Amino acid sequence: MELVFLDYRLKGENINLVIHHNTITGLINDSENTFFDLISLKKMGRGQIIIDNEKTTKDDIIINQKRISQIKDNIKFPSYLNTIEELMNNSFRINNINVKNPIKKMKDSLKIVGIDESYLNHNLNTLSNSERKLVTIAIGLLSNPDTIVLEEPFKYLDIKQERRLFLILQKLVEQYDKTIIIKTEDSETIYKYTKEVIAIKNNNILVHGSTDEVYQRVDFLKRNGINIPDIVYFTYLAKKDKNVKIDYHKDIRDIIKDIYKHV
Amino acid sequence: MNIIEINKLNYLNVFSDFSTSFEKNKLTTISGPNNCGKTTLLKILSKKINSNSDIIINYNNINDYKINEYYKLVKSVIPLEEEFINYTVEEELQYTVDRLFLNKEEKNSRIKSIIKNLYLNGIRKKEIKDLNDKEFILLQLADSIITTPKILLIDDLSPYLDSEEIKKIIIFLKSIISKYDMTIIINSLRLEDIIETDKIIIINNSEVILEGNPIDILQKDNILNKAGIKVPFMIDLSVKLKDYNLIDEVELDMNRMTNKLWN
Repeated sequence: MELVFLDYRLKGENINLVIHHNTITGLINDSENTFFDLISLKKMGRGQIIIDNEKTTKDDIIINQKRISQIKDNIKFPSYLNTIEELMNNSFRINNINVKNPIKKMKDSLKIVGIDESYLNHNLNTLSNSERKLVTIAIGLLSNPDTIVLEEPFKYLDIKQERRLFLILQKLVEQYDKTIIIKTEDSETIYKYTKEVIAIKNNNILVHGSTDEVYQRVDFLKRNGINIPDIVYFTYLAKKDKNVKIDYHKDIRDIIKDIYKHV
Repeated sequence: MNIIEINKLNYLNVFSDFSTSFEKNKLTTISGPNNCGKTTLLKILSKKINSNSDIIINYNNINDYKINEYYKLVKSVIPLEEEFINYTVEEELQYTVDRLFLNKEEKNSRIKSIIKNLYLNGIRKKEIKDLNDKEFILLQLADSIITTPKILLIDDLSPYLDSEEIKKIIIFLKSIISKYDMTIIINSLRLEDIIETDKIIIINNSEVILEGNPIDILQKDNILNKAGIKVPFMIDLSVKLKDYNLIDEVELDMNRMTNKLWN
């Protein structure tokens, strides 16, 4: 699903933005959730939105909202629901999702995020923070969305679970043709796992581009209060202060090899 | 001297014959991968859940304490799991110190210190119902620390506070631990935050897999990675550069590291 906002007016700002189809895009510094909600088509302004090369009307937007799943951080499960199955059934009901075989859909969604189907009967109060996170993502998949907009998906996860979730997101993009947007304050995961990044400042787009290229603009990002991943900042210091010709890398083993060549 | 002794703890499928201990007047970190039982252990030690196991707290069995007596001795901070009865942040802190039988000077001094050290000045007049997650957790911390309990248990703050904020809180906790005869245990998955704590215990599959000084433990990158725990970038870099004989010891500061490599 490709989303284009053309001369779009929101909160007094003029927005021009393209969310490319079939990509994992990072969204950083969106402290007021303006872009998180805009991309999810939950917050509307004035102007043109083009979806999959088609200009849209207000009615089209309502239809397209159902193609996007917004998965927020820290969702509080309703206290009157006891199990994951009840929670998922509740999601079917409130989001008006009709599927032929709801149980199969629930099990499939859990399987995608790596949770065993036996968890359907698990009591919600016994879930750990990381399990709650993965269950929330599984619920977001129940509607079979084209675009998935996630808030802090890697929060609470250890490095193994973090990598596993990234592989799941990558699979959703590559094999299931999904578009993924990740909103987070964690520059390390954005740098490692996204292809494009949109940095926000004062409710407008500060920079949007290839993640690798954007994060090499260290002085510019620092000036604008954007956190720099450790591996990037170390490389930046070596280049700037010591005039060492090492390259920017994502894997620490690569930077070690580069350092070894240059000491 | 140990203030907490856990002997063959059994709890559901989380702990099986798990044993460990915590030294008096020390700030100890517990870490481990997702679902290793970090939060469960804290809840057992804070008597929020009952294990019926042999746990010695301050020389007495945990089950022999009256609940009111225990909650004075041991305070716990489980992020967002608390209800306050007062209206504003300042009123809550005042209410808490008013129940401590301290003279007026000491009460005022504690409130002043906690507001300064937990950066609550901007929200002291704010209504508790209007606090965001981070502010709420800072109030939880303040409300527990201000009573100077003998044992303070703090669950993982890293999903809510950034690394610099947690490091500053740890320095503050270290500054009061001896003065008030406290013992503090903090859970953390983000290990770069806890390097300044006195000791770290890594648990996985119901056993302690590593324990000791944080700098020494964090250099055991193979064991940590295998358990799913991310090694902080500068320690990871140092360990790998040591393997190549490019440096002699761990360096946590990036500027000093570039000086060591390229001066």
